[in-house]
Amino acid sequence: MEAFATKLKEQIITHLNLEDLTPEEVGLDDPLFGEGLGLDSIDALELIVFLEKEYGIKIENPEEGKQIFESVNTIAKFIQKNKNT
Amino acid sequence: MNHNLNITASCRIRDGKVYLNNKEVFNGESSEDFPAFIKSAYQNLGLKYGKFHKMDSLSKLGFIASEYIFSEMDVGSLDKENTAIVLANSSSSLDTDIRHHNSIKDASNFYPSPAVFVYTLPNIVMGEICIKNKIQGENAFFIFDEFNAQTLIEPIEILFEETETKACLGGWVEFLEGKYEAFLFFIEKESNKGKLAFNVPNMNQLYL
Amino acid sequence: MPQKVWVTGMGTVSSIGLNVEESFRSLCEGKTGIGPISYLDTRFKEEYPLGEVKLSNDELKERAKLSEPIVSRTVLLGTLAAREALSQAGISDVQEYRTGFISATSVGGMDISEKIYQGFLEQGKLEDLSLMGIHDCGSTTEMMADLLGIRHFISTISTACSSSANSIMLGVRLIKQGILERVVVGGTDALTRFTLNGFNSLKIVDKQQCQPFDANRRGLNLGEGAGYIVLESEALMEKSGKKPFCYLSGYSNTNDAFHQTASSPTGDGATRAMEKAMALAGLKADDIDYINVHGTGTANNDMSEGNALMRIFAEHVPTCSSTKAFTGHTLGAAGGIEAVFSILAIQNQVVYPNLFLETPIPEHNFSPITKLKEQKVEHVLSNSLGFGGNCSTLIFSK
Repeated sequence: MEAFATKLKEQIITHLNLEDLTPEEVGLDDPLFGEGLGLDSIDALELIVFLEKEYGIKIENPEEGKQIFESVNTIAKFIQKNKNT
Repeated sequence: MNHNLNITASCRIRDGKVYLNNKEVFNGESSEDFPAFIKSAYQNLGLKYGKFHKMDSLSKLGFIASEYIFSEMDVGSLDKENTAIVLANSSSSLDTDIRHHNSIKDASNFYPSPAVFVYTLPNIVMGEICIKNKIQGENAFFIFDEFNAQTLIEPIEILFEETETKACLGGWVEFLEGKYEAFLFFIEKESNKGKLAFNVPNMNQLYL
Repeated sequence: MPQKVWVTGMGTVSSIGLNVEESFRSLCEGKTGIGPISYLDTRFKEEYPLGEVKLSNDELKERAKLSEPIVSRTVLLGTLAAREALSQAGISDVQEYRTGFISATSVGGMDISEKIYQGFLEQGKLEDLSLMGIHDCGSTTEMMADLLGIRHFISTISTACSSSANSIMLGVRLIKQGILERVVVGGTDALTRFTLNGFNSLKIVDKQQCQPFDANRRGLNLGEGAGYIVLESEALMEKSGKKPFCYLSGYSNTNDAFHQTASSPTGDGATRAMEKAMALAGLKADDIDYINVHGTGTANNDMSEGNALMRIFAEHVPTCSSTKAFTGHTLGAAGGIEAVFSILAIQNQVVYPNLFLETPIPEHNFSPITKLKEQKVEHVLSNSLGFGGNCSTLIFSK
């Protein structure tokens, strides 16, 4: 799980063009939005596209995204859960 | 019209080089392409502004040119509500339009990106400059065939004449398929700095 | 005393009418133009309603009496509306005075680029969109100017959804400064897959009929169309003895400086645009009789714009409504079309319903009107708020 989350973190940094950040600077449980990494509403939409493109998981309602996108770990858990079902 | 308007700063970005007030301040010629060049200019400015990396090429170009202009200025002392931005180019946001189009043209690989789509409007570059510097004055973006000092001077003069505008960032920002050019200037009313009159010959001199 | 700039003609094409008269009838009858997709070729055909102009490109071409093989829908819609505006103003010879044409658009000739591009793809050939001269925003304006015969001054403005309002603003200023004597101003935008897919990726498109300023609003419907007005100088009015429709008393543009697409929750940019326009017009809050709000139907816009209205008008927000539940959001054309609706409100002393509004937004102390209402209309304020934080306000006065 941790290996997957670390890989996921790197993918997210690339996909969202967070170039000023190195993977070491982002903790797996750090909040991605608000005070944390400061991602915004466009990034949230972009994460939805990312999940669909890379993992074939669709999120229809952007509201659902709020809980899923709390941190790298919550996204990793969400992917694992939805890939198995 | 007689407004006593002066060009108090200018920045030109062309062929891998940045000129501030007609002096070369950065040479990034060794950069392989525009993304590498503009990133090296960003680093040269010593900026730490994560949003920069998310911008499209047109916004990055305009943003960096504006940051060079503001680098020699006390931005904090600007009258933000009365600072305007008037820009123009010939290709609008076509470069990013093409990227967006490419993401929707193929049904089997159909992933329109919201982060790309937001840049399919040329005025977003002005929005980015406003967000960074909290500039809240008037914004206008024109599409012309080519750079022409007179067509840029006219609307800016009217702005100073008609409104409370105290300063204006103006210029030409063009980006299409790797080809780029930025020429931005800062105009102030009755400023003692520089004293280079805002007129066609001076503009053409700086643009050359 | 600065001179007044008068409105002497107007023209519009949108999903609720092919001219001013038809549009006004729809507004009075509360008839929306939004419905299932019948013209745009898109994968979302069954999914989204749109505010389409109810004619094919060939039918539009015939109506505009054009024989060119390929003409962008943006040009077709714009030409029809601009011609109507000139004809209403009684202008047959555009060369007679210093006449300008300032047109706004956000998509330009994208509809044509899309079709041609698709053709190339099917034949296995790849060509850059940039090779197609017809795509540029500027070239659609030039083609329209050619068709109208206007050569003295031509300009294209592109500032997203406030583009048309900004072209009107520039026109007023050019007349005030004596650079032009009269000018056709406004904007045009056709529906394209490009915009529908883009707005869809932002997840702000309503799959049902939109409900601006409703507590349960789900997003916007996209629309298409064009709206132009003719502005003339005071000197020209005296010479011709024409009876004007109204004049442009106030206008302003500001930047919200908050986010690329979202408006600030407090509506800072819109607040300042309205304040500055009212100051220029010399009007107080209680002088405004009707506000044609931007009101797109997105959660963000309507909340933010409403908050801005409350900051200016406090407990006394004037009669207001969004006409986007009629036309959909026509993007670069919206400010022009809504200028025509605002002028019609003054001419006919009537204000339009905000269709499909059921539940007011609880955070607001006002709610737009839901029925057509006859009332005194001397001063109309019209808002256009665009991506990039671009906020414009126009005020038309009797």
